[in-house]
Amino acid sequence: MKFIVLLLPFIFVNLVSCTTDINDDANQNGPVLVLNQGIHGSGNASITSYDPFTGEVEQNVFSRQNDGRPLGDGAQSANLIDGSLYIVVNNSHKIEVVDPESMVSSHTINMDGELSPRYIEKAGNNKAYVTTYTDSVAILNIESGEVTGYIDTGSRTEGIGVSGQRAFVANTFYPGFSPANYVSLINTENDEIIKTITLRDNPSVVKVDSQGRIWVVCNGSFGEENGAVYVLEGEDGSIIETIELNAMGGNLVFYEDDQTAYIASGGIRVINMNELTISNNLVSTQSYYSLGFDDSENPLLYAGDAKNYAQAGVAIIYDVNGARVDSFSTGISPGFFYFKD
Amino acid sequence: MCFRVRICFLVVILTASILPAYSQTLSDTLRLDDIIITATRVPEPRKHQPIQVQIIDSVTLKLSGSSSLAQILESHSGLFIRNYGPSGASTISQRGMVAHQTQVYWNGFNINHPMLGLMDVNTLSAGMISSIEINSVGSSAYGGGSLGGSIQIATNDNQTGLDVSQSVGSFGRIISSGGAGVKGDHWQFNAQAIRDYSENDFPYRDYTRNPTEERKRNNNKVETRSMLANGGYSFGKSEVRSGLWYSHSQRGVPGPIQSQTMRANQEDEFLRWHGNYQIEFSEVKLGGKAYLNRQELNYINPQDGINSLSTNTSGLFEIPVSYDYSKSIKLNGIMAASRAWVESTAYNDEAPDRTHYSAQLNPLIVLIDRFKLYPSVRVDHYNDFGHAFSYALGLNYAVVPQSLIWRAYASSDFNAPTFNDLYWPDSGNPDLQPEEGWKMETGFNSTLLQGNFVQETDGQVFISRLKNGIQWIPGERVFRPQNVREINARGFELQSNTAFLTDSYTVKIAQILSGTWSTYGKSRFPGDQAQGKQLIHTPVWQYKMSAILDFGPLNMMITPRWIGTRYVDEDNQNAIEAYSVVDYSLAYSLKVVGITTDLQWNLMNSLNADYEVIPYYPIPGRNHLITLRISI
Repeated sequence: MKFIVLLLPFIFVNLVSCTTDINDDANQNGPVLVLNQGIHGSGNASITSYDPFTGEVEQNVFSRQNDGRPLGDGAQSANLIDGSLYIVVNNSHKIEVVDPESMVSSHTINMDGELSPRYIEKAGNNKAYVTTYTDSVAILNIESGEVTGYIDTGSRTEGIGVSGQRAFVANTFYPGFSPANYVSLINTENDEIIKTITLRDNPSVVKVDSQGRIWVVCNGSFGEENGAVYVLEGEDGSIIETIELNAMGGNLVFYEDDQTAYIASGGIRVINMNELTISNNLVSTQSYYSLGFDDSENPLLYAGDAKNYAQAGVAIIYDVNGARVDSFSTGISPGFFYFKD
Repeated sequence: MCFRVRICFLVVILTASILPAYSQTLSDTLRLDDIIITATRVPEPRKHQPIQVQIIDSVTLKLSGSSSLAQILESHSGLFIRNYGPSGASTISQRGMVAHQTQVYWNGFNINHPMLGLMDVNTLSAGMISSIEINSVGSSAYGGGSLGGSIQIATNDNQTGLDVSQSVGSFGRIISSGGAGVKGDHWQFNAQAIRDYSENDFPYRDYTRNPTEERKRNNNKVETRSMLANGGYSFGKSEVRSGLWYSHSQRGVPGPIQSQTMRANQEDEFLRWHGNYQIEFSEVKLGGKAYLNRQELNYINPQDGINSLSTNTSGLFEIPVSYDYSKSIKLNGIMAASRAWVESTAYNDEAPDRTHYSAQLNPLIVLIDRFKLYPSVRVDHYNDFGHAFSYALGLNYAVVPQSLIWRAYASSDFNAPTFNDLYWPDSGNPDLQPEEGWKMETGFNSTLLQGNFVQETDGQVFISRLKNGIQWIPGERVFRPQNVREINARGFELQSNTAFLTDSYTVKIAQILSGTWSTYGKSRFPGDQAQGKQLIHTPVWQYKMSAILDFGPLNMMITPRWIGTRYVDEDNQNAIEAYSVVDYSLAYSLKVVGITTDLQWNLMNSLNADYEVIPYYPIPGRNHLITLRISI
């Protein structure tokens, strides 16, 4: 910790450039969980529960349901795999496996202390890939909770998307934090890298749409406004289109029924998923730390405002036309939305 | 004479080599009046200063068994120390202010790190320190960054004879030290060396694991080697003094328990030299002071691919002049020039430097014998961001001479941006302005002396405000420093020193109670919920006590402290629990044919309190230290 103070600006750079994500697979109404990263290094990550019908908000859900045990440091993402919710807590080097209804932890997957798990995706029968923010992807045996191997990608792994037997992994930084600029395409059947696809600096978010296309958001070079969204073929990773952001890249969510994507990049901007063009009409001019999309019968866009990352944040709810509907208080640094069934 | 604390006569430290060290407890208390303080740059007895001054004396330091300056301040001062564990950083919160608003001085020379603007007080070995003065003087005395106040440390520069000691303790702690000093009619020289090593592999309860586990702290060892040499020569009305201080510290950096950095380590190394010359011409004292510093601070974390190396170099030269214009007016002035530069891998290929000039006037005006005024003014010029002015006015009025003093002090303050603030690649802000602030305080000192009983009570209330404070706030991609922070602090400090002397024993009790309400001022960004809330990691309430029983050759010290709850987020939604800790010390001193042998046992955290000062940084439970010291 000693030199952390000297490194604060460095940490902040990474904190802000930490991309956040959303599970937008759910297609039904249900409560919303907000994963709050907490203050970096302070171990005060938490989960906020919000019921859009009653407006009821409950803070510290994980801790309340697990005998006061803290969630940890840096709740990064969550994913529903085989009926359990896997909550990835990157700076605590662990994954909490909970019942998605009760939020009671069934077990904890403690990873090697050198790993900072970021995202988890199912990658086959009884197998999941975990990006680690090191130069590898961890292969997790879901049943045993054991890491069975690693796939070396050469730089820090961040976002991940799986389409069929293909996993696309964003490589965002090299060790030492010089920017990386490629995506690793992995065959999930044999866990081998098929090829790397060079894109632009700092690929971070990877999403798979209903057509099996891969969307990769590159934040762009530091100090330059050259972020971009790449749309790739799901089979071989060939580039279908490059959407220039002329700003830093950020979170990306899909509203598939309307073939619309929303991206946090210089405000919340709209991408036409058919034409693969970006509109200059902004849903919001405010920069948000996270986005989530509830594609239920009453579709709503959620945006997380982390303020200065040292106090409770706010989630703002918009309708699909960009009208502000509601807001609620979250924990510190709301970085990820999960929509329960 | 010494820059900081001069003892006109009956010098306590000088007698330390002649008398058993622990027999001075009452005399220390009685002689507090005699200690000349230069915190305001005006040499006057402590009680006659316009500000509250706390002194931690050599006896307390010896009995405390502390490893670092941080541990001493944590137990014996009114400051709050943000302690990240035995091998982690320890930073100061004084009167509710942030760490870079307290400046630390060695022999009057600032030793805060120029890149950070603050001092990690865990890097200074306690064994080198002979006394500590804590005061609240403003920028017009020593320069910027003093809205909280300043800490003046004096190193062991008056030792004579030979002194060796060896300590062993819990968690692999081993301390070896030795020193020697010689003295002639007009000269003196002494040298001292210390090695302080500890594995710090103490057990702790990891409540972040599922299920909770009892674990041992790893990558937590600290090894510090320090050497100090001092010399002085006086001829006629002139005096030359010089000191050299070297320290090398190597430590693991384990990080918080939930995200441990098992291979991170840090190296701190510095070499500091000062030279002072002073000559007297009737009513005029003229001096020249020089200071050179070279400091390396390297942090290596293979896990994250971080290899951050830095070297800062600085030099300062100042000319102090004092002139007793009349019985009523004493003039003190200083002109100084300094230069500092940093080479750091963090700054890529840049090597920023700063040239700094200052001039100040700190007169003393005695209106009547019982009423003294302390006006002061100072101007600073920095090559990288321009001018800053600061001024202060203090007063001291003896309501009842020798028994009841009333004092007041007001000052304007500033603080220069740090090198990181200005030059951090892609984030530093060259347009930053100095932080500004002001503070006002008033208080009293009462002394009751009846027979063998002495009771000194010293109280102070204060209010201070930081404006244009520099804080790193989020931009689109990175945090950048901006002049947005405002802090309003107010509170009180109540100190009590009690001493009782009989033919067979002495009791000395020091107590400090403080209440500090330090809150965020104006809103810094839309939706800022912190306005009016207590600063994070800043307790409102603190109580500390040390009681020393001097029973001939047997000495005992008990040091309890209680620290109130602290918030861990800016909007005060989450707090960390209050804690209380009790330390004990027992020492036996035997003097035979000129050889003094001391055997000392320290019991730290005697109640085995399970607590954290900063969340997820465990503190050792009950632990011991045994010391054998031989002095000739």
